[in-house]
This record gives sequence, structure tokens and C-alpha cells, in this order.
Amino acid sequence: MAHFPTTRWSLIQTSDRSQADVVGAWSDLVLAYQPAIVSYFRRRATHQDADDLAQEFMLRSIDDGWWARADPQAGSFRQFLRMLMKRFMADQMDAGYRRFERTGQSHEDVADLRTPDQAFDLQFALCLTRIALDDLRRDYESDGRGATFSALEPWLAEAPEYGELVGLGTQLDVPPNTLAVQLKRLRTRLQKTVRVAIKDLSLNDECAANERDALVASLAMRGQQKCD
Amino acid sequence: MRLTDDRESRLLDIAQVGLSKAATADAMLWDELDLNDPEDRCLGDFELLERIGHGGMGVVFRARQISLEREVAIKFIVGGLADNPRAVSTFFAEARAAARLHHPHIVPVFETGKVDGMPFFSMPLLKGQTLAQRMASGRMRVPELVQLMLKLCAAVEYAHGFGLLHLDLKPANVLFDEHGQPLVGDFGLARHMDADGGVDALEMSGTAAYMAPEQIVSPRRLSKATDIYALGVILYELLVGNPPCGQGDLTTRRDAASEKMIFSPRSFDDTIEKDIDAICMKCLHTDASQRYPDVSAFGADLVRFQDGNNVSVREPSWSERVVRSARLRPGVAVATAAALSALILGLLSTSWQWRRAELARNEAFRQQELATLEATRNQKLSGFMAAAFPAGSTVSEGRSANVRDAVSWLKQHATDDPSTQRAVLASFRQALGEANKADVVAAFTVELLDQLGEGYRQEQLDRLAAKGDRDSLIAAALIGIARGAEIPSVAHQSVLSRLFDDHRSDALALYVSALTCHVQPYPCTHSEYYETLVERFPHNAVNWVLTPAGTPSSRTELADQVRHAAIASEFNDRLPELSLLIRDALRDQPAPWSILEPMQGFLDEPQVSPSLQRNAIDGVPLPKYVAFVRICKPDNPAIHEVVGLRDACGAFASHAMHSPEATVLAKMIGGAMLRRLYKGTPLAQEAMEYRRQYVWLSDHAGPWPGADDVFRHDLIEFGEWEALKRRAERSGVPRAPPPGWVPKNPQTLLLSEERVTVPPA
Repeated sequence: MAHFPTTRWSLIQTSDRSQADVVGAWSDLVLAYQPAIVSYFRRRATHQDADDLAQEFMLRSIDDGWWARADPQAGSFRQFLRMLMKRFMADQMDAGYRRFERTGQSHEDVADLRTPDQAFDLQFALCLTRIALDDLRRDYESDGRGATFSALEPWLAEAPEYGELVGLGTQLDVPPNTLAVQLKRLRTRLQKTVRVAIKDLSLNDECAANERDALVASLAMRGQQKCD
Repeated sequence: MRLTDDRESRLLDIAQVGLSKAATADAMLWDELDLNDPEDRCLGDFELLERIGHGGMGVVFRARQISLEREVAIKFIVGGLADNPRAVSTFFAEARAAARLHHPHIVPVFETGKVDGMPFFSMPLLKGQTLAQRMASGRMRVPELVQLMLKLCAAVEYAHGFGLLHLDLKPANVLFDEHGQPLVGDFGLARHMDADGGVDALEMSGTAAYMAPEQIVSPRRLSKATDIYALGVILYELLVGNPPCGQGDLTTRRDAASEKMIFSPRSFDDTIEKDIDAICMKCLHTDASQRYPDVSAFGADLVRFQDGNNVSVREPSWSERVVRSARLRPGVAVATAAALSALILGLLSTSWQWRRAELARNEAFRQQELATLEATRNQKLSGFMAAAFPAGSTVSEGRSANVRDAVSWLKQHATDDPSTQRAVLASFRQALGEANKADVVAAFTVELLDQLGEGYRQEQLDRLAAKGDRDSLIAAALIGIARGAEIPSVAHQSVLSRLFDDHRSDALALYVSALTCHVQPYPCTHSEYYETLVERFPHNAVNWVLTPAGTPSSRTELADQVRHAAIASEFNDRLPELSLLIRDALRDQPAPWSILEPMQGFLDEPQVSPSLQRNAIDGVPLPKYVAFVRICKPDNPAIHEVVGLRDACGAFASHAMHSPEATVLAKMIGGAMLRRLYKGTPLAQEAMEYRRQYVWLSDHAGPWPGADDVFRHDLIEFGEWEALKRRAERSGVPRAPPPGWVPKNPQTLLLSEERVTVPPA
């Protein structure tokens, strides 16, 4: 089973964990999902300011132990992170920083129709997939099947033509039918790894199911990007 | 942000694959699984060998359970259930309930769980046919089918006794074992009844032909009557060859339910006897309240029918009564014949005379039914008890709670009736033996002694309190500590006051007063016990631990206690002295009949009193070191902020670990504290060696008979740590592990925070 660079969300919420454990787990999580955090701020500020805001957000969340604010109702790490970012942004505005306005460039200039939440969710889904994929690769490599993974990975998202399978099979010295079965298994394992990852970041099975639905919905926003 | 980057766009495609719902479990299991492929064939602990069934709710395989090297049937619950977390959670709750059912006519559930995310349960592999298959090969004779129905009724009634409705009774769910005995299986749709004896079903589930009208038409309030309806359908099918509404779909059933289009079995075959016809139709009443009130009433009518007696649902004709009475019940027939003669001869042709004959007959029935009830009662009681212990090795966590539940249940349902308790316990022990659960007996004995022994302990407390000397009061104080949910007794409080008032200059008496106040399961208001103890006897480090229950010390106070304990000259938690005192106080004390009688169902008589004594000795409490452990943890801010605390913690821990008067618990706690505080130092290494030795000694506990008694003797004589080493020696193993020895489970050597916990599947 793949190991995510996370402690399970429920464990972070558990108060009896040692401070060092929680700091480590939280830092790992926010770093792993940094692209999602940046994408949120980019929908609220200019690129340059967004990067600064994201950096500050992450540092302060680690230094000030913001995980301790975790609301037991926050069923998942994603929801909690979003809530923290909103509060952080509100504080920034209240404090009169308004850094995102200083350059005179508003976030409307960003060529994307998504709301900050939607942008964050989409990137979150991508981060999660990337981590799952990396874990899966490591699993295959540790089983001595790294070459199989590398050969099949490009076909994860689209079914190869039979001829392509034959070519690949010849290259790997594996019958094409076996290769098709292996590809099917790889997809199943990816789905399973993603499922486990979502569960890891959710409070319970029910929250995990909701979480999966939310991430699937975020992928549907893909078509709303502006093409310039 | 734009997704112009190819890599990101590709990742998005992969995310769509990763987040898409995996192929539904049933599709995977049924369509895609290649049993010829060793990788596909292995699912967790199971090697799937053959698909043996595929229904709307799941797929059943013949499988080999690798760890136990046995063949089982394994059913994966799939379809809508598998994708719905709430449904899966309900499924597990109900499967666990089903796993508690132990009845000769219910398919036992071995295990429930998830493998590769798919919920499953495993059960024995039954080699016989299902009832559906047997029906297909021809109709049964009526006596045979009544016998069959009685067995099904017994099984369903048993499940109802547990508050469980089956809700999917049908011939396909009745399996025959190799001896031809029917077993009800598949509790996959079973539900627990609520306090009103029913279930509100939000969704329609079941098998159309066997569903009661209330399962089909909203609002769906299901009850025992729902299962009775399904049993009625099975009876109908056995009699006629088809279910009353055919094998149709829900539409057909909806019509049938609303239009009441059920024809009686006799309308198809007039050779079917009127009584069984009436019994069957009683079960199939559209209005649930008009069916039998429970399965036992249904079964009782089947028995009456089988024995040729009048059934409750049909008034027999005059000629039927005469024939039956004379032919089948000679005893009753005497009374009836007398009445008849009286009538015929016209000597006393009064209704009173007939009434008398009826009363005589009813009395005969009552006696017969009472005898049957009494005979089945014990069996039923022990069945309930045995049910508290699911089979398999994975259930030890819940075992203690199960024991408590079972004993409470026993006390509740056989109150003040030691003879019944004894009978139930005897058949329970037998049931455990037959089910290869002999290991439960020891655990159960301890718990039983604890629970049934409440009265015994109270009796001894009163006796010892009446004696009034110092040792008796100490023993009374220890014996009378409330256990579990027991209510603290006034007598016990009074013993403690006397002990304190009369013996406050005595170190042991004062220690026991403070210890009792420290460990009791409710807050203790007598802080004077602790305060006086540490004031007068500050030289024992353990005394500083015994703060009253329910009044936690502040950080400053706790740090102060640790500092005092650290400079104390001895560390003694006094277990040998206290055990000796209890042993002597209870020597030769016979067990009262209220305990002796039931316990003899479980133990031989000579064992009961010593067991009670042993139980009392084992119940001597130890101090709770948790507050000290917590404040001495390296990640506790106090250890850095309070001057000198770290050194004090180290001194206290070292004292605990090295003291010959310390219990094993204290030694292990001291060792763990040192390992945390001084990682990588020789002191931590020494503590680790203590730990290794302890695990070694525990692993080699004497398995010979009487080992525990010898251990108790050694404990009193030489202290617990030495007793442990002697026990190993007596078992023929050295006192210390050989160099390089590692236990089977190396995690037992680690500190709790170092152990790797495997997340639940």
C-alpha cells in the first residue's frame, strides 16, 4: 500500500498527538499541497503577491500551529485549508495590506473564469493525483516492475490501440493481452491509491465520499478556463 | 490560471481516471476477475477458488482462508450497498450482529471485514443444496415440510430474540448441511429492531416473491410480522409448489399487495389439510397486525398441527375434535370422553360439565407446553450467552466487554435463581467447548467471579469490618473497592474512616486508605488520607503518587510531588504485603450458595472458594503513575520550564526501575520514563534490557497446572519481579533472555509512541 506524505487528517485533529508529530505532519501536508494554495491566492491577487501571500500563509500556519483551530466539523483537510485561507485573506484585507492592489493589477486580469475556491479545488485534485502517481511508481519500483510502470503510465488516461499494445509488448517482451491486463490493473491500483489518499485526508468514510464528489466536480471546471 | 501546460493537462486526464469510480465491485468480481490468474485469485487472506453464486446483493465464492487453512464460503456485498458508506456501515453493524448468532439452524458468520475495499463476510462452506434447489426436485410430504418449517421458525425466533429481523427469508437462503439439516443464511439485509420492536425501512429491499406488503408499500414499518410473512410464503411454496404471488417482479407484488389477491393453498389442492392451510394464510395476512404475534406462536400452531391438536387459527368441527381427542391424546381424552359420555347419556348434560372437560384438556396442554418451555429455556439462555463470543481470533478486544454483557444479561434474566444460572452456565460451558472456545472459559471465570462475587465481597467486607482489627480493616478496605459500575458502599466508606481514625500512625494502614481513595472509580473527597500519608511517611516515593481520585494536581503541585518522590529513600508499592493480608483474611471462607450454585455450572465445587480468594488477591490495586509519566515526558513543556524537574523525573524513574520492592508495572513505567528522558545513554540501554527481560519472562509464563497459584505464593514471598523470574525458571527457561533474543513481536519492546500502528482496513 502506498504511503502518503501525510498523517491522516483525523490524527492531526487528535489533540493527544505530540507537538513535534503534528508540526511535522502539518508541514508535510501544506508543502505537498502548495500548488493548490498558490492557485487560491492567485485568484485573489496578482501572481507576485499571490506567491508572497502563499508563502506567508504556509509559514504562519506552521509557526502558529493553525491546525489547532481545526473545527471538528471540517470533514477534510481540503475544507479546513480553504477555511484557513479565507480567514487569512480576510485578515490581510482588514489589516489594510491590500497588497494585491498595490501593483494596480486586479485579479480580474487572470485568464481564468474559476472562483478562488474552484481554482484551489482543481489544483488540490491535481496535487492529490500527482502524489498518488508518485507513490504508485515507487510501489512498482520496489516490486522490481519500474519498467512496466514507465511503459504503461502514458496510457493511463487513454486506451492504446491494439497495434500500439503489440509494439509495446514487443519492446517489453510481453504478450499484448497480458499488457492489457496489466494496464487495467494499473488503473485499478491508481483508483485505489487515490481513494486511500482521500480517505487519509478525511475524517471518516462519509466525509471521504463527499470529498471525492467535490474533487470530481472540481475537474468538471476544467472546461471553464479562458483560452487566450 | 491557465492549463496550457501539456503535463498539467495530462495530469488532469489522469486525475479523471484516478477519481472516477472504480469498476463496480460486482463487475470486478464477476466479469473481470480471472480465477486462473494467481494475482487476481488472491484477495487478502482468501484465495478465491470458484464462484458459487451471484445475486442482486453480492457474489459468493468458494475460497481458501490462507491463515486458517480452511475452505469457506465468502460473500462480497456489492451493488448499491458497496458504494454507499452509510449502507456499508449499516451492513457491518448488522453483520456483526449476525456473527453473534449461534444456533444449530443459522449459518454462522465466521468473519466480517473489507478486502481491497470490498465489504465481505465469510461462513462455512455448506455442501448441501439450498431449499430452492430441493423444492425444484419435487414436493415434500407434509410431515417433512412441517419439521423443516419448525426448524426455520426456531432459527428466526432466536434471531428475533436478539432484536434482529432477517428481512430476506426465502428458499435460496436456506441451506442444507451434509447431514441434511437446514440452516438459515444471509443476514445481509438484517436490521436491528428499535425500541418499539420494528424498523423503518427507507429503501425497498428483499426478494419480490417473499416480501411482505409492508416492505413494498410506504411507509415501510417492518417488524417480526415481516419475517413471519416470508416464512408463510415459504410454507405456501412448500405446500403448493409456487409462492402465492408467483416469482413475479415488484409490479406484480404491488398489485397483489393492494388487491389482496392471495388464494389459499387449498384452492389449488383440496387434499391440503384445513389447519395447515389456515396456519399458512394467517402468516400471509396483508395486515401485519393480523398475522401471528411472533414466530413462537406460529411454531406452536405448527406443533399443534403436527401432533393433531387444534390449531389456534381455526375452530375445528365437532367431528374433528372428537376424533383428535380420542386418537392422539389419551390422557386428555379421558376427560373429554367423560364429558362426552355425560352429554350422550344425558346424565349431566350441562354446559358446566363440558366446560370442565375443556378445562382438563387445557390444563394438559398447559403442562405439556410448560415442560417444553422449561426444556428450551436453558438452551435458549445458554445460546444467548454463547452468542456473546464470536468465533475467530480477531475478536479478543471486544471479549472482555462481551463477558460483561453476558454476565449482566445472566444476572438480569435469571435474578435470584442460582439453580437456573447454574444450568445455563453448565450448558454455556459445554457450548463453548463444542465451539472450540475453551480459551474464553478462563476470562469468563474471572469476570463471572467479579460480577457474581459482588455479594460475596460485601459479605466478607461486613465480616471483616465486624472483626475490626487492623489487618481485617485493611483487607475490608481493599476487598470493598467498587469495581466497574458498582455503587460505592457506605460500609466501605465507614471501614476507610475507621482505618484512618484508628491507625493513622501505621504506615501500611495509611497507605491503604490513601491507595483506596486514589484508585476508586469516582472522586474521593478524603484528601486527608494522602496528606497525612506524605506528611508522616515521606520516605516512600510511591506515597507521593497516591493523590485522591478526581482532584488532579496543578502543574506546580505535580512537579513538587515528583521532586519529593525523587528524594525519597525507598520505592515500595506494597503488593506482597497486601496480597498476603487478603489471602489470610479470606482463608477458609466458604462461598455462599448464591455464588457456589451458579459457579458449579462452570467450575468444580472445590475450585469455587479458592477462585474467589484468588480473584480478591488479583484485585489488589496498584497506584496510577500516569500523572507522573505525563509530566515527565520530554515533550511536556514543564520538563523544560520547571527547574530541576527533569532530574527529579530521572531519579524517580530510576528508583522505580531498580527497587526490589517495586511491582513489575512500576519497573516498566520507570524504565519507559528513563528511555524517553535519556535516549541513547547507558541508563536507557539498561531500561531496555529490563524491558527485554520482562517480555522474555512473560513469553515463558508457566503453562503448567497450578502455575498461577505458585506465582501468587512467590509474589507474596519474594515480590512480583522475583516471582516472575522464578516462574520462568520453573518452566525450564533461564531468568534472562539469551543475548540477541528478540520477541516474536518486536514492537512489544518499543515505547508506545514508537510502535507502528496499522491503519484499519
